[in-house]
Amino acid sequence: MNKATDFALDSTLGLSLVAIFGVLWIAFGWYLGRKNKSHEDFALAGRNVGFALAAATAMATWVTSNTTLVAPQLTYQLGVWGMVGYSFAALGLILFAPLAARIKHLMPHGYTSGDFIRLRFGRAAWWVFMVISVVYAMGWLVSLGMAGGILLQALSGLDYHIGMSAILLICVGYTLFGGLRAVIATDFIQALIIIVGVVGIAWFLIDTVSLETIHTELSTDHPQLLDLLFPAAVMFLFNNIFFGLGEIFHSNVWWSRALAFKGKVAFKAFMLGGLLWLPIPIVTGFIALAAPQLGIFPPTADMVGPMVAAEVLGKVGAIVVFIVVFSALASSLDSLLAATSDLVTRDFYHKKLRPAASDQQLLRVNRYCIAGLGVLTWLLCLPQIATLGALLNFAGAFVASTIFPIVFGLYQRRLTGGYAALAMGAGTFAGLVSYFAIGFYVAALVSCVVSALICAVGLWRSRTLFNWQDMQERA
Amino acid sequence: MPNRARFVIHISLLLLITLFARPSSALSPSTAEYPYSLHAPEVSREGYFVLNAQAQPSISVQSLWVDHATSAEFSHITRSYPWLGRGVADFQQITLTGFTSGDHYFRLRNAAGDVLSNVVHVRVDHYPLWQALGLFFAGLTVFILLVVLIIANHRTASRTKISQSKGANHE
Repeated sequence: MNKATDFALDSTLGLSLVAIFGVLWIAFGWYLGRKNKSHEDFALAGRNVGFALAAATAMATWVTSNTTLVAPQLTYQLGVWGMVGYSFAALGLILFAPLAARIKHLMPHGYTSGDFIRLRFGRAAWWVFMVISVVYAMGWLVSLGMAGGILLQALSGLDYHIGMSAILLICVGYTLFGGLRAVIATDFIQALIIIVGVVGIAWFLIDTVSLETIHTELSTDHPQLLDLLFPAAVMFLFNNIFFGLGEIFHSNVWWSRALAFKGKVAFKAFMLGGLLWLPIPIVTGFIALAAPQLGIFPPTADMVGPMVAAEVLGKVGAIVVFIVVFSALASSLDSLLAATSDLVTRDFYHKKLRPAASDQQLLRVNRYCIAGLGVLTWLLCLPQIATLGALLNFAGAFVASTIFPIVFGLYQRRLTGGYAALAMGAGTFAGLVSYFAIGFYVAALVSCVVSALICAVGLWRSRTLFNWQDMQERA
Repeated sequence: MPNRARFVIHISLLLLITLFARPSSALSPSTAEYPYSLHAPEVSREGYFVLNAQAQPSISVQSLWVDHATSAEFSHITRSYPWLGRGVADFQQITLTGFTSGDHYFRLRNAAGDVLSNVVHVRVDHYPLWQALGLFFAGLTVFILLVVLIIANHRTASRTKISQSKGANHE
């Protein structure tokens, strides 16, 4: 193979696409934001989101840099198991469906996941949980900002910092104007774009590069990618499942949705969102398996998805890839900005600093938080510190430790706050040790196992019973 | 200084220079002989790794390829990988993947086939399968436990909710 790879788009076209999308999304956010009259409207869309929007936002928010950039990255690195293992992250949404129904039942007036931990487990567990939540939220925000920069760089050769700054500016802009209402409405449109775009790209790819040639190339020159007993990939499988479960079970992104969906919509919406999401990483991951056949060997593994799609589909394809990935990034970035700012406004400002704050003050602080988070994320994105996969899986050590404390906390009256705090703290510590000693593909698994064992001891030794009525806190 | 002493010093310096002299091939090829210096990790436990290249300041922009062989002599080049963009001018690294356990050697060349860099060696050493399967089955066990826990508790909670609402209706 003696053909060097060039960029699919010129940098002017790349910048023009960013500008057009930016203006459209921000204008839409401003239009939707006119209906927000109170903090509850802004933070939880009036707790009145119907089934279609609910399922779309669940699915679109979960389609993120993970699925569009990291799923191909992990397939490129870990082969078939990377692709299949990634799709199992859908189990996070599916298993959150019953939890969402329970959350809505226990806390009909609740705001955040932090509220739950504070009321159910007390202050010590709340602090541990908040550290985990903030580390995760920042890790995800930074990975999304980085993904914007990587996307534009892979497709057009434009400097990483320009793409990264542009996506952050756009998402901060429309979330600032529209709140959760704008986030959910844009998610609905973005979900449609993602489904149509991903299916189209896969269709053209199979049409252009046959499955047989891909298989021949991989078995000759990259045999490890097809090996079902590839050790690192075998370790990665359940690690990814627990990472996905931890992300969804603890994050206020999903709790705020469970609380914003009306009536009994939450269970069905998360179930359908998970089922719709399941095949997407298979499709995006499969794209990466065609890379060696096409002679594409990226500078960093997280660039492989857009590069292959652009190579197969040419300039039009590169535009389609850009729109799909940009939509996926925006749908997650806006959700995370909104949910994290809610967490800071509600759990820190309202509950710790100003309990007597008025509704309008909360609304204003929430907007300041969104802008502040945007600036902080931008600063952290400036040095490209790690690949997206490594950065995300670092957060896995933190979030997987929350799975069992949250499940037991929602259903079992016997788990006390002390054991919940210990489970989250020790689980995170063990996960981080394994992250550095073995690799990113075991951090979440180890963290979850340690946390589960401590919770089991806590249930066995505890003699006190929590009163569910204590969860009924008014705003 | 007398002429004799000067002569001895000159001869001694000449001998010293000769003593430290090396054939050019014995010098570090990354710094002395080649226009590019290639770097790689010594060991990979996952079969994927990143190769980094740095160009000498005077090198003009050109397309590059990475040659792969299983021996340091490159008697048989098993595969060549194209470097993205206009060589090191656009990107300074390439990520390669899917290698089995063993010794792998890489070097850079241009389109004409001229070797442009030093040879780097990467030893791929995958984790033992027992370790991977141990973690796999630990994960499977915890996952099954979690699913059973959620389903059982959800059903119990739903039943309790129904009986509570019936009780409320009776009241």
